[in-house]
Amino acid sequence: MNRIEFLRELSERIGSMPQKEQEEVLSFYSEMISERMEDGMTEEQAVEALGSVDEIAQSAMMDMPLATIIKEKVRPKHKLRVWEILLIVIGSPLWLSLALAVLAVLLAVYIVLWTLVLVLWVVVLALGVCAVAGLPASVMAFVHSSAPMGLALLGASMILAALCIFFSVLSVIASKGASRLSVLIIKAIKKCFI
Amino acid sequence: MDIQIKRGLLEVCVLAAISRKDSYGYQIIKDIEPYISISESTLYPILRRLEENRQLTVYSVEHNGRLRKYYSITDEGKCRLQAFSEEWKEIMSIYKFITGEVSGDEQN
Repeated sequence: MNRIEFLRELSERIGSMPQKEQEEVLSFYSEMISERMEDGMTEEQAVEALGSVDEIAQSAMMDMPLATIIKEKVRPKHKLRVWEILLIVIGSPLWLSLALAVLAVLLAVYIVLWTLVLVLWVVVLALGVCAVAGLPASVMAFVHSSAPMGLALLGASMILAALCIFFSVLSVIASKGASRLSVLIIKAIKKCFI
Repeated sequence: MDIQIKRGLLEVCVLAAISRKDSYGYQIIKDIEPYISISESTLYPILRRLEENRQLTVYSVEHNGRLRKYYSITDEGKCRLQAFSEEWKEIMSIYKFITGEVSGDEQN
């Protein structure tokens, strides 16, 4: 493959990127070919050394938003013929509901993931509020009823505070895990469409 | 090598490769290659990310009748390198503990 063939193939593969980004990618790889040729390689060897077009396109596209990638992939390559349009319309009860089901499942997974995280934070909040509220309550108990009662309340409040700290550490870890997981999920979906 | 570690290291390697002197894509690859494997398709997203995070800037220079892009490190990029070497000192002491070059009680 020579330079022109390579650049043509690459630009086809990354067609869904904004024009400016496409030009940047193409000029970067074109520069790389020139550099290698100045280093003594032939044009073919220089193109060969860059690796597969698939890999290059994938690495360039990975930073694109998911919606842009899917939109490009779904867009028909030629103008639709009448029978194709008919087929799409007639088949819509089937493919539309399937597509919606897939989307709903993905959405559900995503919501469950973040609900788990949310629950942890709610627990932290509840523990924190109780721990703080326990302090004045124990003072009140000291003053108005007995000392053991006050001590018991103070102790309970301390235990709640400790639990609150423990759970907040747990929540931070869970939040980080969840955000890393959602990045992975989006990456996996992107890979299916590139 | 763990892929997360490698990605982080590569970004720092690219910054290091342009920290002494402005450099261009192919030269960066040649400089890094002996230490950690890197290809054009890995370098490109890294350069984009570093540019987005304002850790480097880009300018073009005419070379042999074409434009060659040069990458130049910014102050933010230098801060990143600095932070990396601080962090690495810590990691090295952990490494020494793991490999048993120092034992636990020696350290205290």
